[in-house]
Amino acid sequence: MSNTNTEIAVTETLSQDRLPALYNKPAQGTGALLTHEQLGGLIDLTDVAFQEAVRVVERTHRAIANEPFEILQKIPVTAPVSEVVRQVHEGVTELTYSMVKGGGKLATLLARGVVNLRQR
Amino acid sequence: MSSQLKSAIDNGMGILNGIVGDYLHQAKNPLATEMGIYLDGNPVPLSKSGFENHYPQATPNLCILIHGLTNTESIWQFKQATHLDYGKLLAQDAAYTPIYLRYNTGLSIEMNGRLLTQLLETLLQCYPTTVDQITLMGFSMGGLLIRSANHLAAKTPEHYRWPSLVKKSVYIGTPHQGASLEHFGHWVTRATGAVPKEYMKVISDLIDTRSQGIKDMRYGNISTEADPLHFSPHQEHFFISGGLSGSGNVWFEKLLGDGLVNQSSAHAKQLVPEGTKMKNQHFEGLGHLALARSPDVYTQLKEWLA
Repeated sequence: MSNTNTEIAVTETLSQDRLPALYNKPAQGTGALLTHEQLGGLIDLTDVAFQEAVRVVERTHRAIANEPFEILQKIPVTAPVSEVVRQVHEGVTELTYSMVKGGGKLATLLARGVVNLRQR
Repeated sequence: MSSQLKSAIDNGMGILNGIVGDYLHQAKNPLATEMGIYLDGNPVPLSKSGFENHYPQATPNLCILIHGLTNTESIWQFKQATHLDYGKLLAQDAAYTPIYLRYNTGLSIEMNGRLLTQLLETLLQCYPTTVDQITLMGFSMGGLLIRSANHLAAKTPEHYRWPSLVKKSVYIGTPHQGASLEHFGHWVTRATGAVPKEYMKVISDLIDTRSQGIKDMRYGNISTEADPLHFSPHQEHFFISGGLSGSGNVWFEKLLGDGLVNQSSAHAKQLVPEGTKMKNQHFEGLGHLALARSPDVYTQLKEWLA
């Protein structure tokens, strides 16, 4: 479609960084169930959703686990031992969730590889 | 390829965009829907030839149908007769050309309003015949988009031809004064966030993960400006509401409305200035979604628009 003066004026007045281009670009979804790009987008979104879900579980886990540790920390008899247990727990938690997140990233990479192979 | 599967995927995309569409747009994810005109589930190229091919029998009277939050244009299809909708019936009964809009409902209403102002102007340039009259019809959030686009276009009228062609605007189940369900969502977010426990904050953050489009429905925000133009004085405005309370109980109606929007909000009682040309109609027994595809509602629309 040609850019008439009116169009240019309208676009300039309303132009914003993130406005999708309405001009000279066909809309998506022309025929195929999902385009290659959309499939890639789906993989990216699944990855983000997975990472967010793990983060939510991790935050909840830590928040709940902190409560007994805080109580034990206030009792002189249990404080020293609880601190050691807390640190071990922190370490194991960190390691476990990092592995889960890493597994998700690996699955994303694999899925992307498969999609790219199919595209060729 | 099964058309049912394609339709299911399109509907899924609509839901996804409604919930996290602003994120998808920001992340430049290809799953983000771009505003466009669709016919039978496929995009119409915004060009003269594109319109000539898709609308060989274009008439001078346009009816632009704008769906609601998490929907696609399939929301207009009658349940018992999916080949029919308000647009097609108006084409048959009153020589309108129906134009179906699809857009990312997760974006803010103002941003979609901005895009709509551009798209309508482009549409006039691509349309194969002279346009005499445009009727805008919005379901739920779609009605807010109509108002947002009108407000934005009124700020720089020298750039737009389309507002002078719009004679009638129809708002079907539109939460002009806010949607009770989003009020509830906001209240739950605040209540859970106020509990001084970290794990409750996690829950609060999780509930808060909803798009700007959904959040705008809380008060029916059409603009970030303090006092936007709510209803163009040059158009005739038609309001349609539904109700599930049955009993006519005022409190029940206020809380429940059509399941998402109550009558007062759908009729924009507190926003319509005196002297505005307007009509409204309430359909007791019709829920929110049913308003977009009801033979009873169509009978009323035909009376107003034909």
